[in-house]
Amino acid sequence: MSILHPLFHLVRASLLERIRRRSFLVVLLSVTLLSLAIATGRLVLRLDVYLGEFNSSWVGALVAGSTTFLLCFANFFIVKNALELDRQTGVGELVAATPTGKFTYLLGKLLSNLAVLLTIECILIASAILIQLVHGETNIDWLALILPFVFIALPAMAAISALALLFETLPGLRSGFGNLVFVFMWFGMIFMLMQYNDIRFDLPGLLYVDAVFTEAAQVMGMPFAGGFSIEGGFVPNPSALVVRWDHVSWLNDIIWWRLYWFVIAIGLTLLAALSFGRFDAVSRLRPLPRWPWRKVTDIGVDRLEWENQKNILEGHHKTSPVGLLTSSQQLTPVDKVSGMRYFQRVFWLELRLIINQPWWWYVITLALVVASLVSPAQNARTVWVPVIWLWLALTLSGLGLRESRHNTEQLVFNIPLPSVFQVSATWLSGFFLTILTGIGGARLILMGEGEAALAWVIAAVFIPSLAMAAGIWSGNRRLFEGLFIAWWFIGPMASKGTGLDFMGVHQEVVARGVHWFYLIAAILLFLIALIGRWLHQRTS
Amino acid sequence: MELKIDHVSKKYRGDVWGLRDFSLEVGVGILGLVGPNGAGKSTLMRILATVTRPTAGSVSWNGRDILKSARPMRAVLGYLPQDFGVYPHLNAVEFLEYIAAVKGLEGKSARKRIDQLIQIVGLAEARKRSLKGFSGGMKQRLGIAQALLNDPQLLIVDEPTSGLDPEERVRFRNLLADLAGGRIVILSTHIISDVEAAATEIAILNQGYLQLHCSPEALLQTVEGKVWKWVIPSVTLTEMRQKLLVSGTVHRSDGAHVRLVADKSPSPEAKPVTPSLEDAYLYCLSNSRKGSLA
Repeated sequence: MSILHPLFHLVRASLLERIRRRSFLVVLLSVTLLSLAIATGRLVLRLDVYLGEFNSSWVGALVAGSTTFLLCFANFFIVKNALELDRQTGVGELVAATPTGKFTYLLGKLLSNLAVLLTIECILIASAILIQLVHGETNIDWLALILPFVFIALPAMAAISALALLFETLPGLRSGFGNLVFVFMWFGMIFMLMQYNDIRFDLPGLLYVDAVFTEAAQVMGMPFAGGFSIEGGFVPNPSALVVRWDHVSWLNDIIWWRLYWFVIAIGLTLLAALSFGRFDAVSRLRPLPRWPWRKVTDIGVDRLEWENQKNILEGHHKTSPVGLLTSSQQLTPVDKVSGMRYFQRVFWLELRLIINQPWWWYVITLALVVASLVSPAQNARTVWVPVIWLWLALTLSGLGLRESRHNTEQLVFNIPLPSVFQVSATWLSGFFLTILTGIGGARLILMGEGEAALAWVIAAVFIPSLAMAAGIWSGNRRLFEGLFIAWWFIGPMASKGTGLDFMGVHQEVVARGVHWFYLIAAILLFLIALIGRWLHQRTS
Repeated sequence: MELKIDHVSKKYRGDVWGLRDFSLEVGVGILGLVGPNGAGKSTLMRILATVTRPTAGSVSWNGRDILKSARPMRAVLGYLPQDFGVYPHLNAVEFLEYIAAVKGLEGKSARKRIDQLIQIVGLAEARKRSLKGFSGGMKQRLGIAQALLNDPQLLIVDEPTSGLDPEERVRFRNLLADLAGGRIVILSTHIISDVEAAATEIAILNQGYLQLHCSPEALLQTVEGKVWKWVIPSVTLTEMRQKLLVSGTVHRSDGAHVRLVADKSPSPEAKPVTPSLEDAYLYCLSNSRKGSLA
């Protein structure tokens, strides 16, 4: 049997299933916006003081270089659902009973990941053509335009696709924790790249752009010390010098380093094949028990039936052998609640569902909360509360998508409670948990830092709002986890007082009143979540 | 063609056994696998379909251990799990093409077979419709079609008629009966009438153990002369259910017409009736429970 036929269909089915989903529309929309930002000059790749003239060589490198850097990170979250899809839909069990081998199956999934990303790349190539046309460059050199995508974007996509696949096969990395690990890996790699200019860490291909531009500058006799930046803003830097760049030496040694990422991709896929358990629910790598001291009885229903029968045969009649309820038995009448008590009950039950976690979740959460309470107040604000909320994000990422994930939509969506109350109850439980775990931030009130305390409360309002909007609209946890973790790094942690600090970690940000912006954003996100739920209820 | 299950056990986390020391030899024909919920039917099906591995024991297909090499069996296997899924954004043809490809079927012949199967399971009009819009019954029919794609020598179907309407159920039973010639079909269900209509052999599972393996005729013989029909006042029905093994009740104007299984006539008014497989099945389970309690 040729491997190509099953491979083709593995790729085709997986690709079609993913790109026909509503969440992929969100991805396409985001990529289109990114393309427009580049096309209109609001996002530029600048090398030292130079900007390229808008010929095919430069536009290709500009779009491929800048978007690969920005999208590499997002791509991981976009494609980290190839196996999850088969697991969730149950198709995995059908595939497991076929002669298709593990490696063929995973290779198919790798290629389908790549195909999904190539769909995105097609939009970017179209935007590159648009950029040239917008700038009056009608002479399109197709090879010069496409090659940067082949040599910069494609190897990075292959490696990211394989890494996502490997993470999906490892039980510990399949979940939100894996997303957290990836973000640390990503920022670690970028740090190493910036620190050492080492090509082995250059997955986004930035050193490559730098090197070929150096060559071009040298040919033109222009001084260029190296270095690049991706700049965002509404006004293009007027001081930048425009240079014509069409001296592209594709046989540069550096190209071989791009191929090295394909080798990495194959290696990662082989590793994934080793750890992949063919959808056997009883994995070889067993997860930690949720509550080890509690007796697990997977056949609990059966045991009840058995005990029932035993009672019947022994003469201790509790229920009848046929049917659990007889005419002589009466169910306890129930009282109905309404208004605020109803809302209150839904809120507590939502909260209970969120905190229905294994024992180690409580241990970690409690340890972090205690640390935030006993450490110096300044540390609580700048370190412990952000760390707790990073940890909590992996739990809050389930907000708003529990119903679709566990297929309880038809049970939950017909309760006699308007969607605004239901969404509010879920949101409130998220807010309650956020504020409770971030209680270390309350020490700001005792210190008399009223404005900082307000920023802390608003952050606790903003986080569940973002989680709910992302969860309801994307239908998965990955959008919120990817967005939040990256934002956490770039904003509160790495930035020195920019507007990205949504937690109000830096005093200067609080002094500028940035938190009020996040309050408005939180309200808008809540409304977006509400609209999403309303649409979902109408279509489900 | 032979499937041999030898002392197979499956243990889950928390010291819970799904299957215990299960042995069975299955030949050509339809084996009806019956048992109450949680008896271990689906666990056994998943082991036979090579989806999960047993904790102990072995399974061989035509003398070859499938735990050592699953591929030869997978090549001739058709499997319909109890809770199977589909890609909701594909249509029926796209989905079947996908399954055909992963089953290793050549494209051209697979397409022909897909067309035929779509006709057989009555999905011709919905062939290009997104699977998201399929009803439970339509999805089940698609599942049956995918299991038959590779003309399997071993067909494993787990609760195949759940979600089907009575007409579809009869059609599926007939299809199974037609397919039975020259292949092994394992039909897991707790709808005894499905087994009654199609099975050539019956295996009863309870609490993970094999309780009984015999022909339907042999199973029926165990309740020969032990099934009674008795008309009683409706008010005494609850008491009757608690004392005797009641297999059916119909309310009429003259009282409750009770069908029950008992070694001796419960009353001079009770009349013996022809036993059904359902009576025999309930009697077998009841006896095994009494035996366990003794």
